[in-house]
Amino acid sequence: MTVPQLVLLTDVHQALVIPRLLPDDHLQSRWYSEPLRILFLPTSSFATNSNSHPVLSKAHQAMLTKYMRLQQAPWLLLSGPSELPQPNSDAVGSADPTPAEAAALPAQPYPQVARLAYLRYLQRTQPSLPPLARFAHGYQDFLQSPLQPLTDNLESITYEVFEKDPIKYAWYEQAVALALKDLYEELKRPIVVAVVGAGRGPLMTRSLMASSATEIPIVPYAVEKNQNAYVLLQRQNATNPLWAGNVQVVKTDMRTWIGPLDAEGNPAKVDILVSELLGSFADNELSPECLDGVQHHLDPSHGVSIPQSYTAWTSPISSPRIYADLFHRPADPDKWSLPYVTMLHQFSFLSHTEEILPPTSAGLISFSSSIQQCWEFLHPLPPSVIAQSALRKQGGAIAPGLCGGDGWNEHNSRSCNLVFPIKPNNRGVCHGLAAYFETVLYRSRDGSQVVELSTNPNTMDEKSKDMISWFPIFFPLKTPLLVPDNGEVRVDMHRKTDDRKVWYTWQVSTWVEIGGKWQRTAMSEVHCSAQNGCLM
Amino acid sequence: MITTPITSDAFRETVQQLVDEYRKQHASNPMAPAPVVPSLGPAFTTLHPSDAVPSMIALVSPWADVASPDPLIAHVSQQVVTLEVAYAAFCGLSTVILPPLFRKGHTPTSSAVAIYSDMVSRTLGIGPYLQIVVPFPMDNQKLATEEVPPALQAEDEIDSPGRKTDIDDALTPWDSWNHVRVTCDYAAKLAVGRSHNSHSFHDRSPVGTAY
Repeated sequence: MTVPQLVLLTDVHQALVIPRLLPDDHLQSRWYSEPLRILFLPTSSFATNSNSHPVLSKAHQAMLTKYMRLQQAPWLLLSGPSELPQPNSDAVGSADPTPAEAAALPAQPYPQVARLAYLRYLQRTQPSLPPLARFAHGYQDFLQSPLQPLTDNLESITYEVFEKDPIKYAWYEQAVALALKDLYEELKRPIVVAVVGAGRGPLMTRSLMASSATEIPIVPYAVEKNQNAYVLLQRQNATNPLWAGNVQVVKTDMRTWIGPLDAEGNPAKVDILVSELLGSFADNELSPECLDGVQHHLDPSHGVSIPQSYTAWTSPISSPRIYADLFHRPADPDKWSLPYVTMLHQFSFLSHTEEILPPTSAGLISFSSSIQQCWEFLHPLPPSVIAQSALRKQGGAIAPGLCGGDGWNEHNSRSCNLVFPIKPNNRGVCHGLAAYFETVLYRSRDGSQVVELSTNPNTMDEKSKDMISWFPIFFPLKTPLLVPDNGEVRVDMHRKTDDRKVWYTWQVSTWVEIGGKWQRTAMSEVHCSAQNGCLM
Repeated sequence: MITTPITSDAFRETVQQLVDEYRKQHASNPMAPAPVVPSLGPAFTTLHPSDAVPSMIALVSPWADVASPDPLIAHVSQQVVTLEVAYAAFCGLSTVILPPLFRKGHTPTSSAVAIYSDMVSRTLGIGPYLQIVVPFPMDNQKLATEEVPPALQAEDEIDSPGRKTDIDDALTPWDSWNHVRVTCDYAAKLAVGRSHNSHSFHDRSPVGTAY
C-alpha cells in the first residue's frame, strides 16, 4: 500500500514504487515515543494545492495533530527560501523611529509568509480532543502510586473524581437491572442487594434506580469500612429521596460483616453483591480477597456478584519518557519495583498480531497490538474452594502457603508466562509492561446480554467507550532490553500472597531464533513489589 | 523563534584551509601533529549575547562531520563542535542543534554511530542549561537535494571500515538514536530533531523560523 506522507516533491515516484516493509503507523509510533523537540518541515514537505498555496498532505496533518497534543509539543522548523516576513522598506523612514515617527507610519501587518500562514491555519482548525484525552491531558505519562483503598481510607475528593465517570455508573445500573430481572423471575420476592465498599453511595443510588426502573423491589444494604465515607452514607439515607431512609447502612469491613437480617431478625442471605473494588490491573486493590471474605453471606444457590469476573492484561512497550523519568529520580531501591498508575501516552507497543486494522484517516495501515491476558478471577468462588481455604486457615497437618503463611489465601495467587511476537522491522527497546484490565459486570442468564468494562485499548471502545475512571498501569524494567526483529518477548508474571499481603513479580526476556532453535538473548532481573505489597 | 548559525563562512574557509595545508605538509612530513582549529574571533562569528538571544536556536555548523571516515575531517570537526557549542552556551542560547549523523548517500557505520554518540555526550557537559537537539531522519529514505548538509572537502572517497552486512532499513536511524541516548543516559536535556523523511540544513544566515 502506498504511503502518502512520504511525498518529497522530487521523490513522489520513489515513494509510490517502493512498498514499505513496516506499516508506517508503527514507525511513526516508534518515533512518537521519543523525546522530540523539533520537527523539520523543509520546502519539500509541502505540496501545492490547486490555488498554488503550500499545503501538507493528510498524513502529514494527522501526524502534526498527534504531536501537537503532547504536553511538550515540538517546535516546527520551517526552512527554505524567503520565509521571513520583511517590513515594507518604503514606509519606514529610519531603522529606529522615534515614537512620533512610528505613530505617523501607516499600520501594516507583515505579509504572512505562505507556509507559516498555512501552519497557523492548521493550528486554528485542529479537531477537539476526545473526552478521555481532555480529562487526562495534564496526566500524560505522570506516574502515580496505585491506590490502596483497603489499607488507606480515601478522601472525599478522590471519590468525587471517580463519580465523574460518565459510563461506569450507567453500566453498573444496567448490570444490576439485568440481574434483578433474572433473579426476580426465579425468586418472586424482594431481592436483597448489598453494595459492599459503598464509598459515598453512587452504586447504591444506581441500584435503587435499577430497582425503580425495573419495578422490582429490593432490600438495600450499604457496607463501608471508611468511617468518614460512612458519615456521607448516613446523610444520603436521610436526605436523598431515592434512598428515603430505606437503605441499611453498615460501618464495617465487609469481611467481618455479620450479614443481613430478615424481618424477624434472623440471618438472611444476600442475593446480589455489588462492588467496585477494581484497580487498573483488575485485582491490584485486593478485590478477590475482599469478596472472598463476604462471599459466605451470598446465597449459595443463586447468589450473584457484580462484577462476575475480571481479567488482567499486559503488553511489552517502549516508553523512553517514563524510563528517563524513573532513571533520573533520586536513588531509591524500590523505584523500579513498583507498578505505577499512569496515563500512558508517549509510548509504542512492541508486539503486534497478524490482524490488520482499518487504515487511519491519513491512509496509514498497522497491525493490532498484542495485548494478552495474564489471569482471571471469578465470583462467587465454588464452595469447595472456600471450604479448603477455611481448612488451611486452621493451620492443621497440611502444607503451608508457598510464600509463607498458612496458605488460606493461596487460591488467589496467579501466574502467567506470555509470549509476545516481534514482527520483522519492528525491533526496539522494552522499558516495561503496559497493563490493563477488563471485567464482566453481569452476563444475563440466557447469555443474550453482557455488561462489560475495559481499559484494554483493543476492546475499550467496543465495551465501555469514554470511561475515564481508570488509567493504565505500568510495570517498569530497571534495565531496558533490546528487542530484535522477528524475536519474541517472553513475560513471566506472578501474583503472590502470604495471607497478610499481596504483591506482584515480573520478569522479561528476549528470545531469538538462531539456526532453527530459539535462544534467550537477554533477560531482566525479577522485579518484585513485595516491599510495597498491598496489605490485606 | 529563529535559527542562527554560530560561525560564519569565513570560519569554514579557515578550517578548510587548515585541512588542505595539513594534507600538503603531511605528504612530506608524516609525523606532523594533526591541526588545531583556532578559537573564535569577530571574523568568525557575529553571534553575541543580546536581547534577541532568548528567541534563537543555534545551529552548529552542519559541515562538521565528527564521524567522517576521513580522520582528519573528523578530528577538526570535533574541535569545531566543541568551540561552537561552548560559545553558544556562553551567549546564553538555550537550544542547540548539532550537525546530523545521517548525511548524503551512506548510512553511518556502527563505529560512526559510536563516535557521534560520544560527541553528543560531551556536548551535554559543556553548557549546564543547554538543550541539545540531535537531528535524525524518520527512516532511511534518500535525502532530497535541499536537505543534504554541506561538507568539508574530504580526500577521495575514503571507504568507511564498516561491516557491509549490518542491517540497513527504515528503523536504522531509530537504532542510531537509541545508541546516542543510551550513551547519554537518557539525559533530559537531549532530544530529537526529526525530519519527516529527511532533515534540512542551510549554511547561510538565519533562514529557519520555528514557532
